[in-house]
Amino acid sequence: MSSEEPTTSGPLEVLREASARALDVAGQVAEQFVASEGFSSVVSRAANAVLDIVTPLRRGVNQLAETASEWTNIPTRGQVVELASRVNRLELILDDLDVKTDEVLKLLDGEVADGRQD
Amino acid sequence: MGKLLMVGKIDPFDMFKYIADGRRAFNRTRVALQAVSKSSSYPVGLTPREEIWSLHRLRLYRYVPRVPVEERRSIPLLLVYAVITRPFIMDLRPGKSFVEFMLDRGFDIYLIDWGEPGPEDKTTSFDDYAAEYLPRAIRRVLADAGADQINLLGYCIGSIIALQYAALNPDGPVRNLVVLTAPVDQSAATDSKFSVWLDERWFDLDRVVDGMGNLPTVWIETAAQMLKPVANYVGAYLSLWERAEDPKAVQSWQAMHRWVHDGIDLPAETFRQWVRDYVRGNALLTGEHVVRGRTIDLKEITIPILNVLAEFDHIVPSAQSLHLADLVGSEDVQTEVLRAGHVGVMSGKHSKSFLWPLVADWFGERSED
Repeated sequence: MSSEEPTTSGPLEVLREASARALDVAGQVAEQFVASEGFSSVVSRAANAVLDIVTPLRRGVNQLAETASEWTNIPTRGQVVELASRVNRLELILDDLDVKTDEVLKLLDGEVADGRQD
Repeated sequence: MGKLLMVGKIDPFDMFKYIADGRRAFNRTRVALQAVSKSSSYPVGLTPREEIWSLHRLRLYRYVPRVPVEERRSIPLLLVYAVITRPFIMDLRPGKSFVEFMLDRGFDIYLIDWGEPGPEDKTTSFDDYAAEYLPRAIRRVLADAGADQINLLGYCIGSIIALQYAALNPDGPVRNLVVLTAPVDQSAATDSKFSVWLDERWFDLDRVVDGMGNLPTVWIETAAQMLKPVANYVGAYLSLWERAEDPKAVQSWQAMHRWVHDGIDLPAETFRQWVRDYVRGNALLTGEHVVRGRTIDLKEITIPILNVLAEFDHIVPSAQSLHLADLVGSEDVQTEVLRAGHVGVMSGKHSKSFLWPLVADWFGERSED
């Protein structure tokens, strides 16, 4: 075997080189394809079609669940979500209050310090 | 058979070598499959930290300092990450952690984890992030650190939130701002795949948002993967197979794989606002974005800015942030282009040797009392 011949030219190496080349080409082709307006249009149409089916179904299931919850006198999903939103808003208000309390405490500290100096 | 063995100048007497190669390949495959199956539980974000404040889903962390108090810098640094993926990319694993590096350089590091939105958060928008949550988090950091100034580092959409905050609070406590891969000018990259996919000619934004509520992470992840479908769906796994005999490389791959597949949902209104106002309307530049009654004007920002972009970024094409210096009012704007991709800019092979020291030195030079 001459020294110019590759030393790692086993079947796996050949396969690896071939697959690397194929992947390069496939990658470029795929990137061009997904960047095309045709692809975007088709995917969007498919998403819309799925939503056309899923949205009314989901609405129906939610309605059913709400009715069942009302019958069994337990909070509905909507009510729980609404409650969570209110708790979130309450947290913001409490945080604002916390800021104001800190400011008042700072002012009081300043006045106490001034009083001591006087 | 003889013909097959002659492919690629194969010497038929090297059969023992081929058998050894076959065993190696089998072993690599076994290791790679194990690595993939265990990647979702790979330990990440291990730098010690403590939660100092929380508000609804948001968590504010302070990392435990690693240098004595006299060697620490007085101005705290707050990391503001994107709202669609988890922030542990900045603290991936020991030795490959930006947070760890900055702690070793004496920075007092805080991190906002926006958390995973629930159905009650579907009305949360960018306005909330920039005008409600971030200001409160900054106030907490300042109180915790006993400081009156703060340095901010925004990454991806986090940099947009940081820029919005800086524009809304020109006299605020932010001393310096670093933005990484900031998608500021959506009109600058006409070849952006996101722009094509989200074009109003076919993408019915309101139908998707109203139908789905919060945008599921699987949609976001799929869209990100589809930017480079072959590289992400095939190449990533081949790359693992190639490096399967190097345990460190396998661990690195697992950490990254976990991050890529561990996303979070995007609040419905944030997604609507992003597509309508930013991707389609380029509102950050046109001056049409109004937050809590105030128009966002980037010219209001006068603090020093380090603008880092990634040359091979396929998520935020570098053109989108290249001209930030012309858009803000700051005189001190340094723009650096890194030969990396969107994620590689923070955790790639050049990060530790170039980006992290650059950020540390830049903040250090501008944070002297």
